[in-house]
Amino acid sequence: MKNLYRETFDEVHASDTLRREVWSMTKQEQNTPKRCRVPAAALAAAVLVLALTGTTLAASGLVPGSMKNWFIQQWAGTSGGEGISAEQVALFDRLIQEVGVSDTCGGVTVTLDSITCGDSALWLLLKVSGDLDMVQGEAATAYYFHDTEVVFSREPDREDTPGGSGMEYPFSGTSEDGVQTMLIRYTITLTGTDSLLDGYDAVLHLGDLMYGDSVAQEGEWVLSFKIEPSKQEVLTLESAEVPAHDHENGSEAVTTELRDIRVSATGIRFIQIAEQQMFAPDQGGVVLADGTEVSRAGGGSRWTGEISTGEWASDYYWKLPVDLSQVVGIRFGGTVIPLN
Amino acid sequence: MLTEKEFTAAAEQHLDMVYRIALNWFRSPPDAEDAAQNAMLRLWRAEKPFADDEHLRRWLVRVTLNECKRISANPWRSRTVPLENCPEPVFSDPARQTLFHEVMTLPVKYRVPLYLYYYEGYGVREIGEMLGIKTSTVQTRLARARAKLKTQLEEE
Repeated sequence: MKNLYRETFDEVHASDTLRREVWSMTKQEQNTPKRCRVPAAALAAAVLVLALTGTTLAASGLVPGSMKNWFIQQWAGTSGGEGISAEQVALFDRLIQEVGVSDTCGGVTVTLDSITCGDSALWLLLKVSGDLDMVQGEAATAYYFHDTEVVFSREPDREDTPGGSGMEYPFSGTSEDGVQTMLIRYTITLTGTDSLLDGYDAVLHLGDLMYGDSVAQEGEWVLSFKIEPSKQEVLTLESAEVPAHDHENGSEAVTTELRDIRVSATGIRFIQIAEQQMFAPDQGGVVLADGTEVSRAGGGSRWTGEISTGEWASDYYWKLPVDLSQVVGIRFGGTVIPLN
Repeated sequence: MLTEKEFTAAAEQHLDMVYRIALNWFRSPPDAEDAAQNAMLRLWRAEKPFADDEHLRRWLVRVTLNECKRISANPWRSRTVPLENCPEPVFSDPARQTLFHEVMTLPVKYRVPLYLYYYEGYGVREIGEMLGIKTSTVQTRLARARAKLKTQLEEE
């Protein structure tokens, strides 16, 4: 098989277009001044920070200095100015774990301040300080790490297929305490009852601190932390018919059946049969008793079992953790499925 | 930093490898081209000296894998590309076409180690270091990849 494999990939080549683009890199770099291209992650962070209207912090160009302040700020943006309940704040306090581990490289110290762990989402708040003369204020949103990886002591996904995982920077910038602060959100598409809440020893690997497209400090920072095992309540629903769009047939409006629905404080998980894999449920969120809706912030889908014939499992996370005792439904498009 | 001549020679020698790694990661040629282009740009801008060509090749493998991870982590990118949406190259031999198709149906966690092992000739320990996973995990993934591939090819 090895020979056949090698012969096969002998025939896989970069396209002529790619070759031309690579070959012309040297010319472009010589003929044009270096532009500070803001990478997608930093751009996303900047967009998110700008989207935080109505708060003193956003107006001042500062980012929250703590995970709790970030969640409260997100709540303010979600509820349209409605006050946050004591139960909701208590939930943040319960979920946020103080960590406080640091690593120093090239005179730059990175501290993992705290984490919040959900079923399949993990928020990590970082503080960056040290000898580096860092840009402050609004321009500080362009800092990020080029390589970001979370390695667990064992694979969270017990299925024999990969759980897609993603990493993003909801914000990066100077916080009210004057320290460069970054929030990383790690999400993984798990199935069944697999959960990050089972408890893990984990290591966050960070490589090369970037500012825009330039390396601000080369190096590697390694931060070990522990996700304490915890039991969080889950609301379950056997099945529900929800509006969806068929993305293989011109986004035609259809209905799809979601099965084994699990709603947790941090997200929602469900499966669809293989034949309905192309039916993407309409956007929505979780509806609370006071009418507030916390929308979906992202997620992913994957096959479990055999590709194309197994089940299509989806795992989405909420914009911020929600108090499940206040959840009255989940919305997909114009349909609200009652819960509780 | 490489001179223009050194960079062109390195690109001539390694661009296909960079593209193949990225294609094994994404299955999707457009995503693979994005990752390959970013990796080559990193090479052009690299300020570190390379001891020899093997040092450069290994550095490029790591940078390409990091670019693949970074693009995968982009919140604006869909994480899953259905296989049927990924155009395949045309091969001179039907057996190669079949093998490529079956490789692409494997999960990414099998495809990339398989390529680094079978094609680039790296050992399990080196692959573990490149992917940030344990040697035993690489061995398990390679064994499962071969078993799955064998079963799939027999069913064809």
